[in-house]
Amino acid sequence: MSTDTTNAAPANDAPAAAGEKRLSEKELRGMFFRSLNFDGSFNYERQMSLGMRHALAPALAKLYPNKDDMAAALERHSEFFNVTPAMAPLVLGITAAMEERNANEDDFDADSINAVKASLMGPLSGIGDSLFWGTIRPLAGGIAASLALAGNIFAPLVFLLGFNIPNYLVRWFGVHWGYKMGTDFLARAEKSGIMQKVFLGAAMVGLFVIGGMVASMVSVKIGWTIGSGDGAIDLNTVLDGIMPKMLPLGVTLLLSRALNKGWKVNTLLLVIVIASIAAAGVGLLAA
Amino acid sequence: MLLKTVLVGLVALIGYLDHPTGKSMLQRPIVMGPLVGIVLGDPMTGLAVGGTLELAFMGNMAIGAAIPPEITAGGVLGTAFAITAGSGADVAVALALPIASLALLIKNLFYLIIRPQFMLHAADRMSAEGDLKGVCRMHDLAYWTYAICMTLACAVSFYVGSPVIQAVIDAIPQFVMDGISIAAGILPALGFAMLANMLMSEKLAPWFGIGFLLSAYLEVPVLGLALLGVLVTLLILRAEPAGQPAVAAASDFDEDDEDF
Repeated sequence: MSTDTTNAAPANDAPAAAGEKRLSEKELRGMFFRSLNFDGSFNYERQMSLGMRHALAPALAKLYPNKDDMAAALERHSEFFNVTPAMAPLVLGITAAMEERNANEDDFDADSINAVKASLMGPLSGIGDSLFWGTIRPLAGGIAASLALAGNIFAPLVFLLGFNIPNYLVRWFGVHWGYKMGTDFLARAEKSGIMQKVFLGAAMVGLFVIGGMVASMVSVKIGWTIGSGDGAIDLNTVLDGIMPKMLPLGVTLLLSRALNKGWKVNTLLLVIVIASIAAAGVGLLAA
Repeated sequence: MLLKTVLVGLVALIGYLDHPTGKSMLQRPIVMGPLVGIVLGDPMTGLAVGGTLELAFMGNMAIGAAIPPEITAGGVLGTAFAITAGSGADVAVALALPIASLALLIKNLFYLIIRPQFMLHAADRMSAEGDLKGVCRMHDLAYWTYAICMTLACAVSFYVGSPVIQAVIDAIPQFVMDGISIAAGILPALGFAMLANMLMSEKLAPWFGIGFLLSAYLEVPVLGLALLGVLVTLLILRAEPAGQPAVAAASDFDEDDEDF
């Protein structure tokens, strides 16, 4: 994270021309705090559109003292919107920078604001989902869960800090970065390759740890034995002798295939529970 | 009992503060479990239940518009009922699954009807009038009505449910409880499969394999794996000249429907 984003207070370097409306650190901070509850009003009709208007409020209040301009701005941001919540401040920063230009330039095309917002949804959700939901949360959750199962009372704290330090940093720098770079953001990010690097890095670490957690946290044990009494052969020992944790790996790959084939998560959840109960009934699997 | 109900309600409220605290994951079972344990006088059971539920619900995440079972209520009530019945993590899993599915019905009621019909449409009318404060009020109202409704639902369910839950648990045949224990061991696989599918591409598949083998054969703990993964990733990303890997990587990620 570059350090020059922190002193974005007067934001752009050029001195404001007379009568120009400029956003300050105060509005950026306001948007940062309001962005925390970005999906607090999530709904199926337009998802985060209401959260968008709520979070943009500090900027809009400063830029549009006139009721008609305000109405136009609010209606503009009534459109459907969705992004990984942690990436919302970046969008807010970029949007605020465009709104600022719109408030100051007569010939600015206001429709371009929504076009840019719409173009940000896909790439930012892609990177945000893989970074936060695909990597950071399972990582923090997996570490904390193993601590909790070992009786370590700091588990919840480790989880919350592990998730929220990156979460808050990305939010804080996001709104400042976004405002400073404005519409240049996507172009610059693309040119430097930083987005792809983060995306790739997150996927690598995520897959690495998830692979490990399949071995350490999924448990599938055969209940049947070959023969009986002292001479009985425990199938689990046989399978572990071939490759440890073969069954957890097999089940995970099977589920992954099913998801790829279009099975719904909730269906698979139900299938797992019913199959487990059936397997317990006939003794095929053991807890 | 009344005091416990209020306290369980308070824990649930903390969970629903997940949103205004920056989607901070307060709602996850790993946080809710120990808190419920503390207010019900058995923090260690709460902690163990929290850890188990956290793994079982690993894949419980909202990506895009897909809404998973409502984990806050599932985690809080599953843990609370398991503790009051003197049972452990398996009972909590058995209870959390159906509770989370029921709670999702209330959530959907908000997402589908209450929030659009009342708050969103009111906010649209206010937007047309340039009433910024009103729009913000509608956002807050949409959040708080939901948080309070769900908190009350959790508290009432705990109060009403506790006396009967022991009977319910006793009525479940042993093999069903065993089956739930088995399912609790398998459910994390569903979460990992979802996560792997999200990140996987043909080029990156070996990363999953290496992580698995390090853990299966050498039993490297998760934190060790994570640190190792970060370091190796840094080495590899550093080795590639800036701006160059972008193209190859981007084309890789387009094939997200790939089997592995």
